[in-house]
Amino acid sequence: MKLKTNYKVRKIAGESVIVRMGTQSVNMTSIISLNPTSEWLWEQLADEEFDAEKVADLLTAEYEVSHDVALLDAAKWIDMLRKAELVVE
Amino acid sequence: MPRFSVADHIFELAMGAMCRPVPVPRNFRPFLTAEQGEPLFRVVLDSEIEARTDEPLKVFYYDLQVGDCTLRIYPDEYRLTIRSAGEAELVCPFVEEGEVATYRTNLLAEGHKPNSVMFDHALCFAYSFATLPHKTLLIHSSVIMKEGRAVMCLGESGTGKSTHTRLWLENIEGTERLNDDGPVVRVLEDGSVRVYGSPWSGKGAVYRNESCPIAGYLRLSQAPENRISRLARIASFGALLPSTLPTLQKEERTLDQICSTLSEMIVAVPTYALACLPDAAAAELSYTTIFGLRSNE
Repeated sequence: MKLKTNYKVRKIAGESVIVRMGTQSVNMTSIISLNPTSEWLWEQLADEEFDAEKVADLLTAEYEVSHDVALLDAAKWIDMLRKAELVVE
Repeated sequence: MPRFSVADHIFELAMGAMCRPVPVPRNFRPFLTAEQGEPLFRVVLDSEIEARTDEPLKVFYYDLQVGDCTLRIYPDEYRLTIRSAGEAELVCPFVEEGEVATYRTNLLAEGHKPNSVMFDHALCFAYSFATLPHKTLLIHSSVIMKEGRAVMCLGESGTGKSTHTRLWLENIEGTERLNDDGPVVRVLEDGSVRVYGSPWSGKGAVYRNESCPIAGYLRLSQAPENRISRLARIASFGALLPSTLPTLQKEERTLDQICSTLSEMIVAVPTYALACLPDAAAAELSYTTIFGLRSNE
């Protein structure tokens, strides 16, 4: 899968968010808040094909975390991206 | 060439020699100014608009209460077509900082007779577009003032913004309405935030050239009981964003400016969510909470 990098990460009141506008109706707008790890992953994976394994590798290289835990976190993160429609499969 | 000052931004309306003079509409009269100096922008009302044949980056259609609009976004300009009593076009190019923007429209060109909806919408769009880089946003809301501070009631159409401000007027002493539809908010040099009356006030028709600091933003929703809570920052941003002009949210440049101004607005002033009935107790609850007269559980 790939990130929809046409969405820009913006700083709002010191926090990082993605503002996803609806196509025609303004009611469709959603705001996705990214914590520092999430934002770091977003930067690392821009324009790259990735899966849960690759995300887990990035996490274990950067943070003190076992591969199993990282893989669980990676799956959760990808699940969040899917729900927010921020990835193309 | 009449000049206006709305939220301390000066603009002028210009007409060519061929144009019959038109009286200044009632809602703009309180904003006439004799102030000199360069305006921020001018709108030439009887321009000839040449057709543009290249593909726009984006096209966006939306409804007015009596008519509809098409916005075409090009790399160098925004073009708005307004249809109600006939059709008119408004062309707003991007300009360098410090340059006086000149916007052109055929609203009053020969053979065109716009109604007030078209005129108001064209100027509202031109104003919002020109002032956007100057930490200024038109916020769809109904605004009340008490003791020199304002409360801005936000919400989708039909949630009862005007009803809630009317309930303040009827039940809370010393309250006045500043605007009932499209007031202007500015973030000033020192980071403080003020709300200003404007010529755009919807059915409420309050055209006051006044301003005051803001005590709180109040996002309304209908509910079977009254309940108020203060929103965290990102939730505040989410509460305010839908109340900015949808036409300026369609593209990165203008959305960037909206986001950065909103970001400062929500840091400076608290946002509350009020789920409410249309009753006096709802006004009492928002008043006592925002003005700090009760503990905020």
